[in-house]
Amino acid sequence: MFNKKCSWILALILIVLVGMKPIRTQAACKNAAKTSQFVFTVPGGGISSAEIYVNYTEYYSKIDSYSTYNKREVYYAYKMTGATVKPTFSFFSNINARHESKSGSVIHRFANWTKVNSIVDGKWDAGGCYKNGYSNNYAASSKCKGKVSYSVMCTGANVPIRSDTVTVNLY
Amino acid sequence: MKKISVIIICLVALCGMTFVVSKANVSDLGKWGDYLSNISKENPGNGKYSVVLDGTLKDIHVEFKDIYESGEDALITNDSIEKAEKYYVSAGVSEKKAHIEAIKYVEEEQALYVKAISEGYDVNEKEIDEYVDNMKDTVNSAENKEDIKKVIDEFDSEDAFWDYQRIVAKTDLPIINYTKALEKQYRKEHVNDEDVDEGWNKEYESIKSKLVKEQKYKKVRLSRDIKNAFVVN
Repeated sequence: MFNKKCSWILALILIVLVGMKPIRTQAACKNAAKTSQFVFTVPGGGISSAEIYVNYTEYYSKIDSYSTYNKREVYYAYKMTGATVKPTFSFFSNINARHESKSGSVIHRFANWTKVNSIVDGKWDAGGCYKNGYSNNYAASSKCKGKVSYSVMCTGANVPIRSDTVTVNLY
Repeated sequence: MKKISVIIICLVALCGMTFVVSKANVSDLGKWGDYLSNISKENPGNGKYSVVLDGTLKDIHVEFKDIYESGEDALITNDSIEKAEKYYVSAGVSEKKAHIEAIKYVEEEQALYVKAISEGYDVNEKEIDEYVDNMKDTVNSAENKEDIKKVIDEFDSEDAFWDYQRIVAKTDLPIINYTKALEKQYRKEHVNDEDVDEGWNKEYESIKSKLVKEQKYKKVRLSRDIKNAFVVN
């Protein structure tokens, strides 16, 4: 009787052990970066200009055909040239980061950002880095995208706002 | 069928309005360029008064009738107000508001200029040439370079436009160099602020207001409204 019981338990354990497949996960990141320049006419007759660099990274882990995007960082740097009227830029006022579906509808807009220590190259006037830890899963077939749009304003300029977008494919 | 016709008419009207608005922006930059081209050909006057007490702009002399306001270290001319007014009107601002904005802009510009000069930020011809050359490269690389091209197209030649920019740079470059130094200092002192960019933007506006107050600008009606220091010897 002992042997029969033990045999059954052993068999059960063996079935569970053999049936358990190791789950393959990958931790990785997707990244896109862009530098754009904009120029503005100003009342004194001169020109003000803005050069903006944005580097956008999505961190994810992949389980089979699903990916969990659980962290993102946006690093930016800029150089503004202008006298009385100059272009302005600030992360919280001018950056719009979100995930979009294949059709372009917004799945989630990222609002809670934490400042990250960063170094800004001497070429730039200023810059910074912010991170966000919101998590979302996407199937590879979903063709979702991560987008960071930014605008630069030159109040008093003839055409005061210019903008651009950096895109990362989440598939 | 009637409903569909109404929808189609509305869509066509909307498209037409969009085209008109876009066209307005295009032609306004052209108007601005045309105005700049005309004033760039005017000869500087040989008036009795210097517009500033120090710096390269000290060589600009105007007559009493050309002066709008007098400050501690700078004179505001009617021409500078008119130029800024034309700009704001071309940007779609009403004439009344354009006049107010123009006065504010020119007062700030002159106050910043005299402060920059007093802090040692005057510039020479070589620095101006370098600044304008860098500006040319920036314009040619810009996402919206067509905006500036519309202004350039109104000048007799592209070289004429950049020659005019050299004149503007005599005012702008000292201000740019001075305010960049202020910004660098501000960022060093506020490195741990959550939004140091926004902090600096507000600080810059505050600096401009303070400098304008220090100039104590007054409308000029009589020659005694202008300090003797401005009289050219």
